[in-house]
Amino acid sequence: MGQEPNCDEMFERISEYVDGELSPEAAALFEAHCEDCGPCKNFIATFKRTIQLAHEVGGSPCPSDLFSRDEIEEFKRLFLTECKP
Amino acid sequence: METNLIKAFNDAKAARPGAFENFFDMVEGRILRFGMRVCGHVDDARDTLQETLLNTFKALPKLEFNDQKALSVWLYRVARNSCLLMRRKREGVVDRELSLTEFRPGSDENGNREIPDWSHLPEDDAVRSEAREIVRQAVLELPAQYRFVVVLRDLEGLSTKEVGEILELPESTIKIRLHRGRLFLRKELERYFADRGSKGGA
Repeated sequence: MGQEPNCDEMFERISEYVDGELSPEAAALFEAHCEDCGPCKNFIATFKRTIQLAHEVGGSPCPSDLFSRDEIEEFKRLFLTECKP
Repeated sequence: METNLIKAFNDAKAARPGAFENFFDMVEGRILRFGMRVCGHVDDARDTLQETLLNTFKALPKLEFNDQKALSVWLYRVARNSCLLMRRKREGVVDRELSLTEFRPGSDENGNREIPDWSHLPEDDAVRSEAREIVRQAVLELPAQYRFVVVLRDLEGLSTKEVGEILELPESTIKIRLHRGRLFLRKELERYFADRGSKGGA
């Protein structure tokens, strides 16, 4: 990317930009484009926000005690049998 | 609680008292947590999970792992295969390709592109919590090939390289699927914030 990207190019490479995978030169061109392009600037901001929220998604509560003590003993027996040389 | 997976594994192999139970908890926990993020629920997955765990504990003792990461990658692969097995048993599941076109911002009749910026919306806990729930649900609606990538990369926090190893796909494919998956999530959030805006909430 030797010159400032157009909006389509921005759109295609946003993930790379946000993940820090663009070269410093390419990233600088990205930012230069955003200075003059409100829609792209907003798109990137909302894209980053989306990823941030994804990072914060916890798990749904996991069920505990799915397996009985006997069933766990069975797993253990199988495991230790396979451990023998 | 033992948090070192390799140590827990080695202690279990050495049959130290309580070690297997500790290792079991860690393994089951990982597979379940991944399963919940990818499948959304495990109510009907118990049999598949049991099958998975039987195969896992049978195979593990014969395997050598260089480090914690190698064992972790192996367990993620097991978890992924378990999810695939669950899906195969569920009928009517159809996956589709996501194209960039469906997410590319369009223009109005005057050729103007308006992209609302909802990234700075109030940091109200309730809104943030709702938004996270929207993302969590949207992940479950992603076609499987994108969902695995997004869960591993953005929810589990693994690197592109690690995701590639787990899914046995080239990094270039991971990046493409990640990008489209993220665009899908963003679109769902955009819809949510637009609805809130039109209802007068912000």
